[in-house]
Amino acid sequence: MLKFYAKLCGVWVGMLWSQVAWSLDLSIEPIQPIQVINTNPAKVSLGKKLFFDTRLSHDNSINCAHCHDLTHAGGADHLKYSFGVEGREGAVNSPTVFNAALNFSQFWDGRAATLEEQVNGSVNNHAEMASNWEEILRKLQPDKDYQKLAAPVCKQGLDADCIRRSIAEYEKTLLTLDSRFDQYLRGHESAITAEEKHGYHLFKLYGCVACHQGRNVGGNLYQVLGVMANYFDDFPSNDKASLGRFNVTGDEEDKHKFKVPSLRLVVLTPPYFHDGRIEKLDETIRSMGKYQLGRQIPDQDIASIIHFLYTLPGIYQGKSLEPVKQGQE
Amino acid sequence: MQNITVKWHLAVVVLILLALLIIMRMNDFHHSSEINYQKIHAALEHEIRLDAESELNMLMLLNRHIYHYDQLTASTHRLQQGMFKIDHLIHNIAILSKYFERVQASVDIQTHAINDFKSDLGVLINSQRYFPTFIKMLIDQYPQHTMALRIYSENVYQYLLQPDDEHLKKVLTQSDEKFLDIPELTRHVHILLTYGQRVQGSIEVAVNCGTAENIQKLSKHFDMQYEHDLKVQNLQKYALKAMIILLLIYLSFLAWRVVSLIQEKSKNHNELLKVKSQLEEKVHDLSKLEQRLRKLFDVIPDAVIVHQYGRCLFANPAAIKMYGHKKNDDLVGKNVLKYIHKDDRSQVAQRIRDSKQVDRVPLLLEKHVRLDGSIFFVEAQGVSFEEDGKQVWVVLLHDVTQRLQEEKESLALKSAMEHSQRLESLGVLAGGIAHDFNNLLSVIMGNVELIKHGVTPSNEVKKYIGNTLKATDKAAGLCQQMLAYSGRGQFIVQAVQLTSLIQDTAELLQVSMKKNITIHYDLNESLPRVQVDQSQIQQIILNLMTNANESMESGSIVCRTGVCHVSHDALKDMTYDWGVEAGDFVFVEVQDQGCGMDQKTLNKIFDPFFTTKFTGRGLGMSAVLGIVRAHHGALDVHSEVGKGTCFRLLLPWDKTNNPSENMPLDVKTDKGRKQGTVLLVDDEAMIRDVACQMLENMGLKVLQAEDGLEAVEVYQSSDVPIGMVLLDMTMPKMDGKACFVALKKINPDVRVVISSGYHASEIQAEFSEYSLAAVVQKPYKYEKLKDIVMSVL
Repeated sequence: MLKFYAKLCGVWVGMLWSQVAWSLDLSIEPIQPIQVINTNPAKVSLGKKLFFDTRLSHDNSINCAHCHDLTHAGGADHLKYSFGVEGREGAVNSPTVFNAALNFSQFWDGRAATLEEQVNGSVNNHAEMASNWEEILRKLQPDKDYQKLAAPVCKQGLDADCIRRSIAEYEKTLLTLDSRFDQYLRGHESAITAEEKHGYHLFKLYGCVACHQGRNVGGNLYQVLGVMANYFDDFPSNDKASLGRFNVTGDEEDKHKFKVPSLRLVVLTPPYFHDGRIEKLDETIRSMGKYQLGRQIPDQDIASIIHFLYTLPGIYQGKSLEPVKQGQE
Repeated sequence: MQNITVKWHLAVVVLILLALLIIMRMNDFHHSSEINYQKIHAALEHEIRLDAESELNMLMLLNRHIYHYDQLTASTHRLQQGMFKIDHLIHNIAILSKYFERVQASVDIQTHAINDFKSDLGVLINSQRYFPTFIKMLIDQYPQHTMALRIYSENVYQYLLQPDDEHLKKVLTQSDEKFLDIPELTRHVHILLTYGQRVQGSIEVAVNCGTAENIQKLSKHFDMQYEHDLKVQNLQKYALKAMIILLLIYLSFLAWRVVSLIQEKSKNHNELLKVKSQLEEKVHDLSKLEQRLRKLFDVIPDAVIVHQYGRCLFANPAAIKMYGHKKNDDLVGKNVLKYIHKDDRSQVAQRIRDSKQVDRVPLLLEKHVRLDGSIFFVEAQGVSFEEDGKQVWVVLLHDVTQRLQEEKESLALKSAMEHSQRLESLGVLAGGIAHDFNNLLSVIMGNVELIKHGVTPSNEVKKYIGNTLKATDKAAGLCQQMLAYSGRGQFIVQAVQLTSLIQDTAELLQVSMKKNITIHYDLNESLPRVQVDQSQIQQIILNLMTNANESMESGSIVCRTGVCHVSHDALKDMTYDWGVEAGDFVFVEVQDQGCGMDQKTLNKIFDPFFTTKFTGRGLGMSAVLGIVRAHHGALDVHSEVGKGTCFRLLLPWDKTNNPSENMPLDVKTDKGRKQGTVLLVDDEAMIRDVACQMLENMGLKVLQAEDGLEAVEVYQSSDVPIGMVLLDMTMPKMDGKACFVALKKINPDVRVVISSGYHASEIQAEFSEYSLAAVVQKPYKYEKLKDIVMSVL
């Protein structure tokens, strides 16, 4: 009996110190592990049903998962530009919906401060769902399942605000927790390989962490695309979307400034950049070195960084999102 | 008035309630104001903390105490969220909006600065870290510029340590131009020279944008506003308290009024209850009455209809049945005029129109029509009353069709009876006169016969006796007709074929016709025989033909015979009530084209002594009727003024077809006895004298008796045997029949000859149980009496 208590105390003391050690270690790390966000289960259930309901689109043809495939495309759609109702093509590449709740704003230009606002944008966007709330509510309000699900969540019943908040609530559960790298950050040295550790070292060394940091390895600042070399001189574009944050603030300083994307699922969500111009990850890193860091990164280092990037996808619904073999993304 | 008072009190009560609500609302407001005050202050303080926290995070990032932007991003995000919360809390305080807008502007500036800071800091740090390595790479790549690159690197480093050194910055800018062919170097140096200031600038903007100061100002003004609100609220409270006191006083007054009213109401309520109870009783009584009336309407055989200006509102089962409907709904709602026969419809419609002026309509006979179109008569009795301001009629309809029919029949019967009785009484009268007259004629005729036989007169006297006898013959004929009318004439019934009879009479008939008149015969040769008195029938035919002849100046008379079936109804129309039964009849029809008769004349033609002829005696048709009645036949007459008349004589067809043999009731041929004693019984002395003389002239001994009793005595006391009794029928004390019975008792073989003016068959029927020797019809001639007496003795 005494032995049992002694063992229990030992475990507790070990856990306590590991927390202290974890805290100390993390304070100097630019990347932080993802933590669960508290949500309302009833609201999540309603949001989940809505996320997969095609009636949110004008012609009942597409749902949220149409551009944000949770099963096969890492929460995005592997397309350069997504297409909405009647085959209309979007202006920018769809980012992953996984961990979107961790972003400080939504869309490439950050025009939506919250997930709720993002829902509003997609539903009303002519190139996406091309619908409106009046039309959607006319279709959904008579649905008895929705009436039942909305009853405990929304006092006023199923309305636009209820739909927006419920979908946002559901998106807060779309987190890729407990990645190998997060395990490493929490002190599990062996969670990532030496090669991957080297990649992480290079990731920091080259200064990628200047932008890709925090829980989401990005997604918490805007940055000009072409800090060190003019990207748009090399790839001229008349598309308004290429002006980035300028479209929101009208500030000259914000021209070509985009929200720095999260790299959590980067290995699963090609093509890359706002314009989906680059299909391959190594080329993407190379371009980043040129336009953002003002330096050339050797292929070997790029490979190492890619190794590191493979440690970032976590687990969703008990299943690891990390590809089994590198290169199969 | 009371309603106005109640409304007024209600208005006051509503005002009180409103006042109470306002008070409660004010309390709530005050309470919520306090809560809001705390919340707003907490939010403002939190916002100040977040402002400081974000500034601190920026400094920590700059000084490399932390290596990611999550904390700074989170504090910035919370700063923005805090603004939403504050906006939500103070949005209804208008005076604070401009201070809030200032805070929002400073927070926006701060956020923008933080975003710039994040963008620039990473770029700057990267360049700072990479720059020595990059210089080393350039020295390796461009050894000829080693020194210049080292000096350049040193200057850059010095500038980073002393960013305010403008001289150094100028030197670096000039040096920079030397390395224009290396854009990466230029870019890195540009970043190193400018981004440091930008980062500093962003921090300064974030720090100096005045977020905290503006929040404090907002907080200060909020406090001022709050204090002001509190003062106003206090004033309002005092006012409300005063108002509450007033209201309470009023409520007390109201309560007092309510109590008074309740007491009054209670009193009224009791009275109302009493009235209610009485009303309920009345309703109950009315309900019972209604039930009874409904039952009555259901059960009475007469129709009851309630209508309003002709539109049916109610109809009882009898009415529905009367008009041939099946259910109530078929009649209700319909216009009752539909059921009135068109002959009466306008009259009924007029009554309905005038219904306002009349309360009660007397019993009226109306002709109504059923659904199937059949007509019936009703006695209608209506009464009107007012219902919901409209005149409503209740009409009782009694079907009198059958009664009317019966009355009609009864009237006809009565008329026929009266006629029949009249004729009968006339018949009795005629018979009586004929009887007495016959007796007188018998005396006259007997005496004249005696004179004729007993005296040897001169030729002149013989001529007078002959005239007297002719006159008495005619008088006897007249008597016979009167007797025939009375049905008591002399009848000899035998089976007669009427066609043959007419054919035998044809010659005689033609002779008696006017020259311009011809007789057409349409006779059935195979006509069955009928039991009739041939001479009587001949008389009928003669009478009819004579009348036809006299009714026209020229033309033709048709005489038909045949067989027909006559129904009971048809018989009723043509006969007097002497009980002729329906069946097959043999008919004789006489049709002329004469002047015809109107109904008035037709009704009288059989009356005795009624005549249209100047010379007529008015006994011809009476005799015809008497003969027909005596034969149990019928007579049908159709006549039309100007067109002619048709008489049809119907005689019962004896289907047994057993023509009886001639019954010579008055003759029994047996002439073996010529001597003997005869008992003569008659109450008329003159008749006894004449008969006695006649009998004595025949060589017979005559005993006399003036009535039946005397006859019996004489018969018993007679010394000589009495061979024959000549017995009168009608006598005082003991009539002929009783006498006959008495004589039969004395001597069953007594031979009795009945002497009577009545019809032989009638005498025969009277003595059907006994055997009569013979019947002699009064007035009898000497020869006739002699033949009978000789045959009996």
